[in-house]
Amino acid sequence: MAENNPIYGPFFGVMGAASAIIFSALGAAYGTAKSGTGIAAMSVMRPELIMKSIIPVVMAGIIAIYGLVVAVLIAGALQEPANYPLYKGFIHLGAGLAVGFSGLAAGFAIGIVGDAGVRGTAQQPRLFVGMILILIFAEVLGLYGLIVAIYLYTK
Amino acid sequence: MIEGRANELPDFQVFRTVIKYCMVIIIVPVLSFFVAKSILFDGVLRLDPINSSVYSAVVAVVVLHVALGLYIFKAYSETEKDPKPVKKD
Repeated sequence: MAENNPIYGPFFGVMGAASAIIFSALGAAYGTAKSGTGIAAMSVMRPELIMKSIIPVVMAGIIAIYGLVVAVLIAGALQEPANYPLYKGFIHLGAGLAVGFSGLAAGFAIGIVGDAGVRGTAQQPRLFVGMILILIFAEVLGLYGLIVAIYLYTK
Repeated sequence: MIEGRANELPDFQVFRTVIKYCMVIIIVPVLSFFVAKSILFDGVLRLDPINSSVYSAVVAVVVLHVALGLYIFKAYSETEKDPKPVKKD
């Protein structure tokens, strides 16, 4: 077996796929839980706003879909060590970490903004547009990680 | 009766709308990834595996954002119309 194709080569690829979904799901879970407490506190007084205030939860869920897409891409490219050089393993690990930690950061941002934004929207409905904009900017952080991960993956 | 209650949609209708859009947002991108990969890019266009995966990932993400945009539009237009004040005795 060549020096470029060690037996532990796929380990890095597998860790890349795992870290993509693990860290994205961590961020998405934090975002869902944090904005969920905001929704629960807000909708006691303003239950008619539930439809609007689900948006942070949906956006946190989308972060996990980014991780899922990259994990599926990497898992589809995994092969036996003989056909899988160590270089590819490193590339896949990098791709997984890129989308994973970006998703973690974006999920934290969505959680905190969603909590405060949903509580604020109950008091002042015109805050809604601002909350959506801030949420979109938080969400785009995860999208940047996805773009870098896909770009790395095609190397 | 809770104040302002007459202005909202019935609970069941709100629930149905939210569930419908959430299902669309969760299922449609994942479905479109595999459909685009196996039917369009691998079947019709016959790209190599790496390119077909990347293109179908892009398709899935675009579909996801379209669905999210539809939900935000729906949520925004739902409660936008200013409800008439309820007459109270």
